[in-house]
Amino acid sequence: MPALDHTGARVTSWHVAADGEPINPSTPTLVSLAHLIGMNKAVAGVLLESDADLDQAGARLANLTIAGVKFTTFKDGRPFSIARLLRTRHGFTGDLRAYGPFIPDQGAFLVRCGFSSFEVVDGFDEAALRKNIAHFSYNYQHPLSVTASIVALRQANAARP
Amino acid sequence: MYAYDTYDQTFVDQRAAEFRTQVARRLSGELTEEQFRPLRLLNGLYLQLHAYMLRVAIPYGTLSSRQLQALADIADKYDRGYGHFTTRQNIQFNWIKLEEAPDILADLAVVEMHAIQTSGNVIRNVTADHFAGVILGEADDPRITCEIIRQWSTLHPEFSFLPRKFKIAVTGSLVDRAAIRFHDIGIRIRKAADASLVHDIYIGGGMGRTPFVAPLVKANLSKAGLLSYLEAVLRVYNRYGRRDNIYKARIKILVDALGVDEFARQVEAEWMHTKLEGADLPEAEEQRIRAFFAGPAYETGLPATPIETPDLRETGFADWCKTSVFPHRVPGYAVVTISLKPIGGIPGDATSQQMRAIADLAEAYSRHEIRVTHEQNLVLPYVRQIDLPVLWRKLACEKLATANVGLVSDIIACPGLDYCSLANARSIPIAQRISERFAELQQQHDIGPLKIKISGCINACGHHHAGHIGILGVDRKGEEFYQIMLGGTGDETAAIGELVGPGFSSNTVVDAVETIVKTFLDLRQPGEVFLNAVRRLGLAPFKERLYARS
Repeated sequence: MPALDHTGARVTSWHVAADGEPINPSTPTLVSLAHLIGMNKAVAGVLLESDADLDQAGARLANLTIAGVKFTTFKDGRPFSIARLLRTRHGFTGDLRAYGPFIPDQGAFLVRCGFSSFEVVDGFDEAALRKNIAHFSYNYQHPLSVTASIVALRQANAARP
Repeated sequence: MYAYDTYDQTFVDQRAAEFRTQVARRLSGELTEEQFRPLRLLNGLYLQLHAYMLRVAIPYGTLSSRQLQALADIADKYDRGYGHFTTRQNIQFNWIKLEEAPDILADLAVVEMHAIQTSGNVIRNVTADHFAGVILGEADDPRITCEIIRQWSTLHPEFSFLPRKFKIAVTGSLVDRAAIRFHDIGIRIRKAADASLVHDIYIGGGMGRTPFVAPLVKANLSKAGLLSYLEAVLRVYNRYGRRDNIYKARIKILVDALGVDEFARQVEAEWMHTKLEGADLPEAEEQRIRAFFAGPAYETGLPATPIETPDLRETGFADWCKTSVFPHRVPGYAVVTISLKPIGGIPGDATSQQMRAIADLAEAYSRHEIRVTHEQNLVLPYVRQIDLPVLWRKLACEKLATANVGLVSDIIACPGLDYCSLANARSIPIAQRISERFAELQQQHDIGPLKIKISGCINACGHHHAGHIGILGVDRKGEEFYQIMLGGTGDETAAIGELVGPGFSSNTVVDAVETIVKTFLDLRQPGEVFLNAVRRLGLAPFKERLYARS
């Protein structure tokens, strides 16, 4: 299965380890939250379910370099909140990847909540995803991603002499 | 009213352009209906019983003459020459072709309108008191708060896939014309003791199959903290609202399951964080938005009463003044409600000709502004009292001067089985027959204030739980039956109506309503209105008369 970065370019898929599986430190690997909590060793990443209780992981999330959050269906809006929380409250600064049956037309929402890459199935409409991410010039909400919010732009314009 | 700046306009233009590509992908077969469904729903496009239906957002029910003209043009160009104003202050067009939907969105964008978030599991169009800004005793114009929420909630990246739809209503008055306690979030703006503006936040109200009157969850919220508080509420709901059963997915079920105190505690804990995350609006931006709602420059020294001629009295002007004309906060002005409930008509429907006529009248007599009420009528908010006679005459020419606002024939009804794919029974013909039964206007005035609300299914789009007389259409073994509830109200004394007993067939339901009204007339005390009589008497005398013979 291919993976894409936030510009829609192809990147390497990460290995998702079964619980109890030995971890190869040279392979980017995600483990379950339960597995992460039970482990003593440092690990690269965690794959969170959409109902994950992030507080369980304590300060460990901030030390990870990769993480994933999994949609149960595209209508499952919880991963958007989890991403926001990872970025704003749990100090996660690494590569955050969306997993599961999200749709290309959610691309901009995903990026604006802090996702930086996508694990997709074969046949996924990558062009539609790229288009969606780049479509809007402005957004109303304060952003986690690159585009400035409309509120911030208005403030900046008003401050100009 | 609010006017788009270049950011707002670019945003809406780009949204319309995006939908055009999505429709093209559907028409070419690249997208299946299943894949296309969530995309069209995010743009207010439903597939109904007979055709596509497009629901256009009318933010907090405020329209300019130019916008109403554009809606009339859309009705002619893309539909069958009429539109239907809804109980959420929006307008629906019922006969839309998929391939033309992108053109409609483009036409709407030209007049600063859109269909964003008029459907789907998102924060829907925020509704407001339809007398906002013109009524006496208001703490603040609620549309300022509504516009702030509109912008904050528009394509919010975190809250566009909620467990279920999410409706917010705002009032700045103690008298509640917006039914705030029947919303997912109801906001009442008040002046605190120190004259600062604060918000009381009611959460978890709603109708549908499990009706709730929303409890007060947060009192005295400062306006500076509104958006971060809403982010906290929405985040708790997005994470913990039920997603396994659509009938238990509204926030009211979460509030009820957790209990108000525990729900409030979780929101409060989340708010401690969201406060620091930058969602709250800078003061300067609040002021920028506020300035759009300053209202027109009023004339001073106007005479305070309309000039009544004997001729006008004879032909119903006084009756119309009694029901349609409301006091304005500025002396010499009046607020005029236009009834979209002609006897035997379809509640909330307006023809393109009527829309154009109202747009013209608003231009001439109401500073180009029109409001849509959640009771499916229209309002001209800035009418000089001296213009009332001529306005009345012109409205009458378009059959828009029915003097029944707030009376028994001013019925709310959902589209029902005539249009809606969810309905179990027809609503519109019941409304039409009730209004014909009570056609005699003097009789209606004698009965006094009485709100009848009709839904064609348990989803309660016709607000039957909040009707003084509520009527719910159900399917009983393939036949339409109607349950009747009494004593509901959406005002500041919000209450859910109580089921009176077994349902009535479509042949007998209008008789049943008439029996209820006659019982009231027999038992009322001098000056007593219907709702108060039901509260005093209880259901017993009504049940007795309704079911006596069976």
